Amino acid sequence: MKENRVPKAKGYITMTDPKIAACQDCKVCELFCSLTHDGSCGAELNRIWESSDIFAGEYFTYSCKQCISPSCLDACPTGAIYVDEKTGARCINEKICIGCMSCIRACPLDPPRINFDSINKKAKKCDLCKDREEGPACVQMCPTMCLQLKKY
Amino acid sequence: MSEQYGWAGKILRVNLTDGTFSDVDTMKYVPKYIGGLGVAHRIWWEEMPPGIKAFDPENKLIFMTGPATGTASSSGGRGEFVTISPHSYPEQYTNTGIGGSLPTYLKWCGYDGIILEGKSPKPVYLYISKDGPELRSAEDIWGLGLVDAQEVLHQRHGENSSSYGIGPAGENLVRFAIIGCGIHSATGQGGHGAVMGSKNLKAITVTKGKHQVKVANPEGLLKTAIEFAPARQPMPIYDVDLADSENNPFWKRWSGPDLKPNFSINWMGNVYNKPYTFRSHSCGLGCYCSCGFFEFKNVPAVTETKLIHAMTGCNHTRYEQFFHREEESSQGENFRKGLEIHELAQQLGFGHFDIVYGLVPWLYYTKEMGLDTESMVGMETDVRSNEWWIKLLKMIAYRQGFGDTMAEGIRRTVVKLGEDKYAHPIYEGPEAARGSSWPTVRLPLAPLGAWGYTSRSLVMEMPFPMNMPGLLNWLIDTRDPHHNKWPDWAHKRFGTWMATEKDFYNSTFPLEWAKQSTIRGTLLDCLPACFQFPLRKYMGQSFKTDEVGIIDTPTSSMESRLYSDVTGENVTEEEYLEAGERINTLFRAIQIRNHSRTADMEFNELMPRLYDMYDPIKFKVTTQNFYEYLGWDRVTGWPTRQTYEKYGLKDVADELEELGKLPEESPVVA
Repeated sequence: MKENRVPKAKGYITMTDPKIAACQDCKVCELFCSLTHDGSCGAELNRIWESSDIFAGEYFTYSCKQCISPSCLDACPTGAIYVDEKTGARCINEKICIGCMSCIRACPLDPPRINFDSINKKAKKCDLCKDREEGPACVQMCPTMCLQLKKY
Repeated sequence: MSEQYGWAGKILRVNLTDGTFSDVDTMKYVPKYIGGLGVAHRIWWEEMPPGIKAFDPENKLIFMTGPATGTASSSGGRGEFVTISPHSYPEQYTNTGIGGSLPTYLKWCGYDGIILEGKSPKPVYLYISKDGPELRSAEDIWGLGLVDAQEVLHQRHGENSSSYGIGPAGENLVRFAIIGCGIHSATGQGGHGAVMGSKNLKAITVTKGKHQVKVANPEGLLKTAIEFAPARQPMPIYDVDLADSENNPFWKRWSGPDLKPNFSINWMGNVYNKPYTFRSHSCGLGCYCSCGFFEFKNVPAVTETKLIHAMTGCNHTRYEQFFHREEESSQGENFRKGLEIHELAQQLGFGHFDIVYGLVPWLYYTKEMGLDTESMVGMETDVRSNEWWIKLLKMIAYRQGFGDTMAEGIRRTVVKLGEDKYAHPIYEGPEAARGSSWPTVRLPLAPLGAWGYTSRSLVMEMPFPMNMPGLLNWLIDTRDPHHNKWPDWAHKRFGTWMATEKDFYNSTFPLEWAKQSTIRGTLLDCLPACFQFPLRKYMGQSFKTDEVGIIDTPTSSMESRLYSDVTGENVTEEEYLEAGERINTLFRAIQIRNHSRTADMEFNELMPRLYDMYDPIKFKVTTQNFYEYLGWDRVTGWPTRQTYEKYGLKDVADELEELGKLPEESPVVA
């Protein structure tokens, strides 16, 4: 059996069963994601998305699946995307990122799970808040507890 | 400041008459006026002379966010509208809050607010995106329901857009029309939607831009958020009746001071929604704990073949409460009737309170008292008939027949008919919604507070002296004071005050309470943050940290810390409260200069609502004590020069002095 080229991440951020906890459409996950990573908030900084259709009453939160075989990592021409040793998260080293958006184009998911900061020309993706002792900020702050780190 | 945190830095000015745009520098007004309501007050003072009526093109409609909007600050995703309110009686400058995504998206487009001026020659909507603002034709959506029109705009501008708009009520200048955000939030009071309609402005749509809102102390903001947030608990899709006090967690965890039987008139009592499930829905971005707004979808309507998607909760469950379980033929039928009316009211674009606390109880009580209002309306009053409700709402929204009078609001309706006969008589009997299954009530025929707004439990519904702090709030406002933030320390001391106070009329406690709640309410509308925090606490959320900081002290620690974390303007609680006093004093100056407010006018507005509950001579002294407590003159109710100058408003004092509107005895400052 072929071995994975990179180690698996410990999991990825996803929603819980709404019978247990449901999204309240507050976008607190998005706001704290960008706050804890960038010290700013804006539509191009969040690494998690709360997609809402308020007219249909549908609310869905999604983020990077931390793919077992990450095509974003393969696509990055500068080696800016790397795997964090502790969490296995697929991360972006912004010092190296040149803002070419290759990773976004390579993401197999629709919509792509990588954001693009057009002001600073940097790609942004979920790193599972690898340096936070408390774990992912979105999971920690979600008021209804509808987010979880789902383990692989 | 080397870097600009919080504020975007500019306010969009829109001239609807000629379709031009310009920018106003936000930094002219901050940090002195914080943001939101404070900045709106200052712009109003500088730009709006007396004498302008609500529907004049010269009336402006200003929408402001605050420094916390667009950040992770607790419930920062709200905004404030101000205008000359057609709902207020007489018309006066009034504010109202709203949530949704639009304030955040506006900030992310680089604007702190919008000043809407003039009147468009044709129906338009304002569209703002990363490419800037533009006015687009709204002729294809004019006449559509509030929610339906926004759904069209949502389809047109995509998932990353958010709209505020009006329904037919706003278009037809119904004086209590709302500006709404889909089904989820609205400017409940003030009739700001009618002002939007008078300007031929159907909607405002904003798509997310590229602006990044910098936070001065991100770690501090996270820490403050965690400290003041409620203890989290999983909040699922609920399969429970709202009225089920045994199993509904919002009932079960209720810890407020109000007794359930009383409070449930305004709450969830009598609402049997099963088999229809619901979720809590935040009214705005950044909400840490959805309070009590419940979203239902796919509920079959009763009079039409369609599925309803609507929010109810808090005061809004009044619609559902008019239909009683013992009269339903199948499970959930009465809830369906109520929700269908509820959805219709939102589509038409009404402020609910003039309907469910004003006109409908008034029609019910007048009928019970033998006054013939049925022939005026042209149909038998039957508040238990869903078809009656639907006809009534459409009559008002489209100003058909007597609906044209009722569209002027409950206060103007009874003034037109004669208050002595149609407003002042006391009704004693079943409560309009709850009927004979509930203790009888003793209320004026037209259950009004001051300034044209329904009392909503804050005037005759409460006995002396429990309502005294609220009455003082009413006294100095231009609308109902439900947007004030009643501090927890006041609730905690309330019982002791009631039990031990020897002279209620000369007590300092209600003055402290009224002042603190006014100032804190103002500051919440500046930051912004939600005024519902105490309510959330009672209805099922528990907090590790008291929301006002150290227990039993009148602080604003949460708000001052959020403000400091976001802006880097490190203020103490005292400094932050002082900013609130400045902003409230400026609001007072607008009342005095633009609307000729005096102590006598205010006393004469409030006193008739109190009947024999208060001794007028003694209560007059209470109001004078309150003015003095605020740094205002006891006789006129006008702030002294010393007070204006204390808060950095010398220019305001100078202008008022020229107009003869400074109290005579105010000390002259060299």
